[in-house]
Amino acid sequence: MTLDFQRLAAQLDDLGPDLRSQGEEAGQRLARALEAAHVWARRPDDLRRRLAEAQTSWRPAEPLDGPLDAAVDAPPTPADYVALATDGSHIDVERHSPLPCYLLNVGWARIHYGRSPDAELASRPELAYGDHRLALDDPADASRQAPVRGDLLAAVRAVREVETLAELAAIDDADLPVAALVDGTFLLWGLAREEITAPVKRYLLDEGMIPALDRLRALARERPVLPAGYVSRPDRGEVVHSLRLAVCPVARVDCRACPRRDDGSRPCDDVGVTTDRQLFAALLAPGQRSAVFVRQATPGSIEAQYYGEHRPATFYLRTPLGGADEIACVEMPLWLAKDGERAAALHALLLDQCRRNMGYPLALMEAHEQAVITGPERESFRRLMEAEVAAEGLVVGTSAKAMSKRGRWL
Amino acid sequence: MNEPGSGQTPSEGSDAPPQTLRAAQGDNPIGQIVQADIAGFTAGWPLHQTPPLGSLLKVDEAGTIYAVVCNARTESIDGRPPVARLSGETDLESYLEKHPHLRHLLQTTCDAVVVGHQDGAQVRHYLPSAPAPLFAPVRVCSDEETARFSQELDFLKLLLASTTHADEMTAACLRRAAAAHTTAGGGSASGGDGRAFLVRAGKEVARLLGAEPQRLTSILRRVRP
Repeated sequence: MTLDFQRLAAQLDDLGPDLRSQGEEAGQRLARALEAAHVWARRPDDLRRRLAEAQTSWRPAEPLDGPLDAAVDAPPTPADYVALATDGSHIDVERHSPLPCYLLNVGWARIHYGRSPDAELASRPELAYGDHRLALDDPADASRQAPVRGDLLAAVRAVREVETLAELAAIDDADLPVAALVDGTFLLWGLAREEITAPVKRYLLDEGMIPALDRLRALARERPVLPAGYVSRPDRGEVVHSLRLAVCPVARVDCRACPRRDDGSRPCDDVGVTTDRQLFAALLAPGQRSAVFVRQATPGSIEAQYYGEHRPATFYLRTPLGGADEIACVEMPLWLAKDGERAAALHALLLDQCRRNMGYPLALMEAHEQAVITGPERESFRRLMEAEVAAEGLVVGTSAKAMSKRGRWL
Repeated sequence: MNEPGSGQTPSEGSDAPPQTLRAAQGDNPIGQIVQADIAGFTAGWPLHQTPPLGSLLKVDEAGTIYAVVCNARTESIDGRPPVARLSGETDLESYLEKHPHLRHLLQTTCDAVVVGHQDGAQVRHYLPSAPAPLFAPVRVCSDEETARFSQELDFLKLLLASTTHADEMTAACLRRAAAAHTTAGGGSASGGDGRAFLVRAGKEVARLLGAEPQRLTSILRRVRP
C-alpha cells in the first residue's frame, strides 16, 4: 500500500504550534545576528584575527571586498551580452540492467542578447560501458578500483558540465561579456575526502576540473568571461558561523571547550540564525548583492589542496523584483572575485537573467531543460539498450526484481 | 539539436537548424510531416507560418498525397506551458529578438485531412493506400494545382466527414478553390470560373448534406461571395 495519510495527519497536527514557537525564537536570533553583523562590519581586522585563531570545525567566511554587512547595487546591464549555461543529468549504472553502463547528458544554452540576437539550446549524451570506463584503476594497487557510480558519477558529471562550459565560452569570439553559469558549485563537494584516491584525483581533478577552470581563466584574461556557479535557495551558513565565532565570549574561540549555559545552549546560539539566507534576506534589498566572501578552507580539503586560485568565493544575491523573491548564492573562482569590475559585471548579468525568468537565471533553466532525462526517456533508453544487446545475439539478462517490477503478474 | 551519440562538440552543435526558414523560404514556407495516418497528418512549419485554414497541401514523396488544412497551432516544444509576461510589447518580431531562445522552444504545426492522391496520371478523390511518410516535405498547392484538383468535387465528402472544424474547413476550402479557379481561369472581373465553381460546389454540398439542412446553410453562408 501507499503512504498512510491518516497516521501522518496525526503527526502533522503537532507541527503548527512547534513552527510558531520556533518562528518567534528565530526572529529574536535574527535581530541579534543583524546587530552583530553591523558591529563586526566596522571591526574587520578584529574579525579576521578572531576567525584565524578560532579552534572550530566550522568554516567561517570572511568578506573580501567590503564590509560584512555590505549591500551592493549592480551596475547597469549591458545591452549586448551572452548568457551561457550548462547543466547535466545522468542515468546511473544499474545492477538490474542487462549491460552495465551509465549515461551522462550535458545540456547547454547559449543566448546572445542585443544587436545580433541568437540562441543555441542543445545537449550531448555520453554513453559509457566496459570495465575501463566504469571503474578507475589505481596504478599503485591492482586490487583497488574506484567504481564510477553514485557520488563519483555525479562528480564526473560536474566535471563534464564545467568542461563543456569552457568549450562553449571559447567559441564566442566577440568581446561581449559572457556569463558562464553552472547550476550549483564547481567544487566536487559530493566526494568525501577518503574517496579522493589517486586515480579519482587524476581523472576528476588533474585531467578534468582543474584544466577546465584553467581554460576559463585563460579565456578570462583575454575577454570578459565570467564563470559562476548559481545556487538557488542555498543552505550554507558560513557567514553565520563567522558571527557565531565573533560573538563568542571566550577571548580565543575553542569550540571544544564551549562555555555552554545551564540549559545546554551555546552562547553563540543568540545569533544562530539557521542559514546565511535569512541573514541576507534582512540585509539586502531586491537586486542587491552582499560582499564577496571567502570561506576558510579546511586544511587537506579538496579546495585547499587542488583548487589554488580557482578556490570559490561567493556573494549572496537577492533576486530582483518581478519574480520569486529569494536569496541565491553565487560562487565564482577567487581570481574572478578579486577583480571588482568583473564581479560587478557578473552581478548585473545575473540580475538580467533573473528578471527574464521569474527570479532564476534563464540560461540555467534552459540548460537544465536540455539536460534533463525524463521518465519516458529513461524507459526508452532501457529498451534501446536491451534491443542492442539482443541484436548482438547476447542473452538479455535482467534481474528477477527488475522483471517483477514491470507488471503485476497474475 | 545534436544527433544522440554523434559525439559532436558544442561548436558543431551550433550548426543545428536555425529558425530562419522564413527568410530562406520567402512566401512559400515548406512544412514537414511529424505525424501521419491514412486519413490525415500533422506537419511542422516555420514559427507562426502555417498555411491558411482550408488550403490544399501536397506531399510529393513516394507518390503524391493531397490534404486540406483543418487546424493549426503554435505551442511549447517541450510541454512547458508558455506563460504570458504581459510586458506591453506590441511587436512580436522585436519581442522574439529580445528573447532569442523562444524560437527554439516553440513550434507551429497544422493538421490536414487527406482528400486524395495521385494514381499514375489520375487524381483520385479517396484515401491513399498508405499514410504520408514521416518527415516528408509538405507544400501549399499553387492556384493552378488547386483549380485542377477541385475540377471534380468528390473530395468534399472527405472534408465534410472530418472530426475537426469540418464545416469551417469546407467553407474555407471552397472560398480558396473559387479564388484559384478565378486566377487560373484568367481572373475575369465578374469572378468568372470561380463563380461557376462555387455554384457547382454548392450543389454538391447540398446533395451531400441533404439530411442536414442546418450544416448546409451554415456552409453556404460562409462561401457566399
